[in-house]
Amino acid sequence: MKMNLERIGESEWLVPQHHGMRVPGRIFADRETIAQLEEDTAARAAWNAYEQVIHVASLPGIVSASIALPDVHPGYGFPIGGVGAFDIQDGVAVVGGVGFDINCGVRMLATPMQLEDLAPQVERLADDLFATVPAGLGSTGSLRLAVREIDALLRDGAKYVVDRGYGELRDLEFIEEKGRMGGADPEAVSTLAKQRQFRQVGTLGSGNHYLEVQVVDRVLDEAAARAYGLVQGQIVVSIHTGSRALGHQIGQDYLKEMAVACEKYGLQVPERELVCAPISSPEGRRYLQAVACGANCAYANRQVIAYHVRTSLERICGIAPQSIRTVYDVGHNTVKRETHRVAGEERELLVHRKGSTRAFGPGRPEAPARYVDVGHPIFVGGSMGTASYVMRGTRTGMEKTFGSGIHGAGRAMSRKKAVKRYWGEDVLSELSAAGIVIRAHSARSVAEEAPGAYKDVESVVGAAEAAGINRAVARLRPVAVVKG
Amino acid sequence: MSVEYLEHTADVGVRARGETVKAAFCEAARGVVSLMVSCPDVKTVFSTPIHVRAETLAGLLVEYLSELLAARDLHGLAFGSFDARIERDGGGYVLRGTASGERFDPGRHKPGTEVKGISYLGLDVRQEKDGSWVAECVVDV
Repeated sequence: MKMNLERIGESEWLVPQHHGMRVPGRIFADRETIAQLEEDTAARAAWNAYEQVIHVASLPGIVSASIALPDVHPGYGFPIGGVGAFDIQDGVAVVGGVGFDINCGVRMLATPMQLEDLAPQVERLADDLFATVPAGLGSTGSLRLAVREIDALLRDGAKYVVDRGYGELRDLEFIEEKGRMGGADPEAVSTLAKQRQFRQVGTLGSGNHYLEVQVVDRVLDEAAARAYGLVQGQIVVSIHTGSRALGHQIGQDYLKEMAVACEKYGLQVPERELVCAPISSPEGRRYLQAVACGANCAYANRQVIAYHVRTSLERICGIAPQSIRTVYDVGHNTVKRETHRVAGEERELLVHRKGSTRAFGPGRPEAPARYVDVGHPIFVGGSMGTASYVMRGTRTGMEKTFGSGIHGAGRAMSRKKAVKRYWGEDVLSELSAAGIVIRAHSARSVAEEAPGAYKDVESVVGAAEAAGINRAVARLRPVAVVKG
Repeated sequence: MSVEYLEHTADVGVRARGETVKAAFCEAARGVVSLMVSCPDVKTVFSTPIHVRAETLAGLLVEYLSELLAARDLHGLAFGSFDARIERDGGGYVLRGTASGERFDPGRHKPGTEVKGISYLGLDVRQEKDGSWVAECVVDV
């Protein structure tokens, strides 16, 4: 099989409408990524991101294009790095456009420390973070919430835990949606999902989740960095995790419900993982209410972990918790109601971003007041031990991608291959030799997450910049990593 | 009986084989759980009953595997062995079985990566020409 692809710009490719597509595909990627897509397509690989872009383009009510961003790789249903916007009236809500880890995302905290302040204590800090932040398979949090308390958390998001002493009210200003996605109805979430979450509030999880202490290695956009309060040499901490078991169960429950809904409403989907329901249907509405609950659970989860990070920094480095500021908190497995200008007309859309971040450009009211002029930040994680980036959206990004951004380097190798090629202990030794302090709960997981299993973050960031959709603000280097 | 892991970039494909459909299901369970813990290192201290229903065998596989994930979180369990009986039930299928194990011990069970969910990608349960069964799906990690 051959890809039907035309190069239309710098790192921008068009998949013309064909084979049941209702809109074209638009892939933002460098030549290396396109070559990988070509290889998978030619080999008729079972899971193929190019094919997934085409499948999403065939869904009812999709608007403008089925989009893939530079970190694109195969997912289930939607490609990872996929964006699909649907008309509110005649479009669908798609479980595969959000996935199981609802509102998985990144919280960044800025400390008043410079690298030289931290250097003598980095090993002790890593040990303390490893002991303090619950991570890894089977880990449990200290905040145990019964079903009724979980309901309140699902409605109120990060504010629920702030009101109970985990952080400060001013954190909320710097969380996407102020840490509380509207429209959440705990009745739409199963009791099983809430029960599964009982011990998991404030836990990091495992796999590609991490907590990373980083140094601002290079400022690339002075004005935006100034707005975000970031300077060269500054120590920041990034927390990457999501909605944990509650989100996973919502995804599982609604896959089943949407499969039934697809039949009920006579919706033809190209593959089972794209089961969906009309946005305006009871099933569609209920799913979105449940997703909002999952999103709020993730915001609360990251807020609790941020609290633990602050106590750790206070214990080991003597930093006052109030001096550690939330830079921003943004999710990359989400679905949101948004208004966008399409062909000269304002339209209300449901925008799914799977392994993609909302990255609204300058001048948007959704950003915190002090970020409006430059646009809110997004966080692009590299692989373990490599650079990460703070970026921001652009006006071009608003027009071409509904204001979406990359979220990471993107995997280039399967976990099966990674475990064969890399030995967890070797990866740990190599990172240590490079001066990165690392603490991990699972050597097997470390092998799966080896840097070699990921694309080069520099080229993914470069492709996003070349396409004009995201702009780099600062490059970060890891100092210490805690892995689940 | 066997489990094979399939190439998928971000997640994991699990393909299980068995002489009977219930054997394939139990192998699939072992394959999924083995991503998280080392099954041979899990002692049998107690057994959790599993009882799920679905319209199709493929649907039943998803129900079965996701029930194991839920039990993991609800009770903090690691599983080492599985048995199951699959029967026709009206227009669909019912699986009754047990998953045996003990409380999760990170020191002994060699933890891997948490499985987040059982997707519909690559989902298939089929009988091969030689009469053996295959049960496969992609799981989110």
